[in-house]
Amino acid sequence: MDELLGRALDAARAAGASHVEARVVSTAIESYEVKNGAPVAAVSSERLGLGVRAIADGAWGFAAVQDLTRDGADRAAQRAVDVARASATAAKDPVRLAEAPAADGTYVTPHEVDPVAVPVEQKIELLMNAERAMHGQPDVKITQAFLTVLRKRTRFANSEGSHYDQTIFECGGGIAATAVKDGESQVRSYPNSFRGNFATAGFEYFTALDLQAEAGRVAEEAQALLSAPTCPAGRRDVIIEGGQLALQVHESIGHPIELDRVFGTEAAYAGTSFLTTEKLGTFRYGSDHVNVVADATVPAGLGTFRWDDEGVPAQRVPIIENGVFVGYLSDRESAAKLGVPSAGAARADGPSRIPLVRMTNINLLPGAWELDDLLADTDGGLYLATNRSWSIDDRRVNFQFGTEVAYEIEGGKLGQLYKNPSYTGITWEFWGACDAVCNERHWKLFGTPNCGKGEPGQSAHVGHGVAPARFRHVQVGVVR
Amino acid sequence: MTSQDEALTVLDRALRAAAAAGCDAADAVLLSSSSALTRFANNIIHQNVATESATLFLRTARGKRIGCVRTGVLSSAGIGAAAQKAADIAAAAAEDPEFPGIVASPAAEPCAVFDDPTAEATPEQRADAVRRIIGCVEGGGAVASGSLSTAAGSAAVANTAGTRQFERETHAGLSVVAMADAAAGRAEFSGQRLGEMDAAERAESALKTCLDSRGAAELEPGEYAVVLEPPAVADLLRFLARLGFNALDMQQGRSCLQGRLGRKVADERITLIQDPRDPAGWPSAFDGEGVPTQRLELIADGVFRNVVHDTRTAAKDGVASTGNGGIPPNPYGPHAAPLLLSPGAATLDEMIASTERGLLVSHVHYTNVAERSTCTITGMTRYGLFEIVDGAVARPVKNLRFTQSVLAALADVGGVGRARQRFGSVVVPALQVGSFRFTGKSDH
Repeated sequence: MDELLGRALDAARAAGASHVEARVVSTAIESYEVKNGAPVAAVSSERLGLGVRAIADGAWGFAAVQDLTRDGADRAAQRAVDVARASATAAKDPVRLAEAPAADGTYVTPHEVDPVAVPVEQKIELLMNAERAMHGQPDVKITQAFLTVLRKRTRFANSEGSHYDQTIFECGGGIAATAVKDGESQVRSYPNSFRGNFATAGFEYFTALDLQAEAGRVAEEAQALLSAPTCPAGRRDVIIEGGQLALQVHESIGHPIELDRVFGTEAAYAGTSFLTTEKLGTFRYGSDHVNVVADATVPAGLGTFRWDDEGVPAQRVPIIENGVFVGYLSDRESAAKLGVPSAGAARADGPSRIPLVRMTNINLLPGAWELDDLLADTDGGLYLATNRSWSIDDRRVNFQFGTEVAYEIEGGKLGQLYKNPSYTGITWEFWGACDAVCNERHWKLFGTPNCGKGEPGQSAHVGHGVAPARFRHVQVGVVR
Repeated sequence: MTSQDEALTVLDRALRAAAAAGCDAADAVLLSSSSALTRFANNIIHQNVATESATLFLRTARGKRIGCVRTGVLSSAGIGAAAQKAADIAAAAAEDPEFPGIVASPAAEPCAVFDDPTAEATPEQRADAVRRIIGCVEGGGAVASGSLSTAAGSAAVANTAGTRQFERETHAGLSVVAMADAAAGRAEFSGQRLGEMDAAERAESALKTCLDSRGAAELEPGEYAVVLEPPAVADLLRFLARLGFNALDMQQGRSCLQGRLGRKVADERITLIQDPRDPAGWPSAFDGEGVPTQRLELIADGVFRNVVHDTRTAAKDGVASTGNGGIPPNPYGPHAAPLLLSPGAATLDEMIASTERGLLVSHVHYTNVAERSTCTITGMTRYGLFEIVDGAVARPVKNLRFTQSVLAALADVGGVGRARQRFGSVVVPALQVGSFRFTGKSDH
């Protein structure tokens, strides 16, 4: 593969490129779903391809092929340069890239058990056992157990002398019980909704989830939701559990801090950001309790790696310090516009896509509270858990989320269960209303394996470390 | 892009490899494409890509034990390894008692559109069109963003029961966004032929909405009558297709149209048809299981008429597949497409004129299901929101969040537009709706 990468770089330079990056990416994914006693999906996927991105005449071009021969490398390189020259006819200033140290080395996600190598029988048996353990509730009509494992190897080289060989392992899964009666359906999930939780890790991560042990509770809660009252509307103090808070961080912090959005390059699709550059270092994003980092180095985060897809080393970047906005996610091009080094957040969804500014692990740092103490301090509030629905505007200002469950907090305990909870707010008002974050004992990483962005569409695997947190006077009960 | 002979050769090789690996039945799909997308923002081309891809999907069966693989490695060795992997998964899997078996389908008459000029479009042609768009928008005092894509692709399906299907198609897509300060307008094109796209007209349309949107005022959320322009209608209708017509959801008791087959679910002016052979939509001759697609009335004169099936749901209900299957395995069930909402008699101006007080909604953004049993969707307005007062567009207003049942909106239709517009596989007119629930506001 080194020879192929070198050939692609040489061919692009010979065709007139001033800067070239080449990536050969091979990805193996296995995805399993057991539903109502049967494996309805057991899929093994193999993808392999070469992507070449080049600057010629001061503009970008990109081409991807699956043909990993010398001819294929030559074709991709020539096409990338041809495309770049076409881009240059509608360009103004030449592309500039922030300086970056040359990457050099090999990285493999730390893991105990290669998740792709675990026998299929073992994977399906674990899922069948977990799914079966959800049976028994009268109205739970759909029971599902999920597992996804991934091994992605990227060999990267660029015309500045960077070269790396990086293998990322991912693993994760979950269970979901759906209770159905009279046209209404209610879902309860573990350890998170939408197929579970995910990490860069080996198969040991999945077995530690112990889905079977949680299955009975999950099914009981799904059943209970059918007869629960609808979450009442009003302004309430809320404690938001980790899985939901992870998505809140994702949508209302992770996306607005993407510097390409700020510069308008996603304007026609995902949108822009309210977080314009004059706010850097001064804007009050939230209360003093809100401290956020973008950390691509944290062990097991779904957005953890050694180098990004421009060869920039993984970093831990301060984003919000004591409520004040202090940093963006960036790639080499957007960083150069701002006059700062790249934050190492250029990530591509496989060999046929260009790197975009993507989240790594956007982590809300832990505070000081024990969860029991926080519950005891929030009488009359609501505890909201597990995402069910999400939506946010194109500048990341107005959001609305639905969760699987809400509980009334009564006497320091979780009391009355409510169904169809929802809450809404304005990003900076919401984070400004945060007055407590639980401590590191309750801090947990959640993986989001389906973060959409870009045209053609890309799906990124990103992470969020969070602990439950309290927000005052939040509008709940929008859905009726 | 793969030719018919090449595609069927790959599929036959995969089916033979599955048999050699000990499987008693198999089906295989090959999707191949050559696509390109030129993206622009801030009045320049900033991203520009060209991609070749081909993926083989293989489902193998040992009795009712199923294993599936997907691979982009299409050498003999790659296909052989994939087939062995699928067979190994099938050997390890528990039985799927509802697996309907792999069935023969008659050859489908190809109906997809393949346009040579679109397939052969060059980066220079795309850049030419983008420069014209940028010139128009920038000349109007706004900033242009968007994308222009062209693609040529083929789909082939074969199985051990004797099914053999192949067709190829082209597609061209354009989005243009014009922005000035906080104001924005958008226009799109989606079709099978690049030559049908009028880039300048689309740019003018986006620019006009943008300029008309400047100086938007704040408006309090609440219940308003609305005129939904075609882009907003298309977005909302996709949710009804997803949550309403899927036979799997119906069998599981959680369709938003549960128990309402044959009953009135919308205003009598609403007729929604799935027609895979209508050139106004996105024609395709067969589904992901190789079953020929068919025209189906989903809602006729407001009455819910049909659900859509794949082979699994059809077998369970004792009916034939309607040709709505995804590529196996597809645990999500059949999906209705393409969707054509029948046009009405009203012009957009007439619908505005007959609205005493309300809102004209151009597009919606980041929509998602808030409550599935009522098909309640939440999202934001985007690219132009205007207040209607006394039957005329009075002023632009800042974007609002809505939380609204699509079924309730379709039951409260006051007018259906005469002109239709296509968005991917959805073709719709504008709709006038008596009451639409807005639940929040943004700052722009």
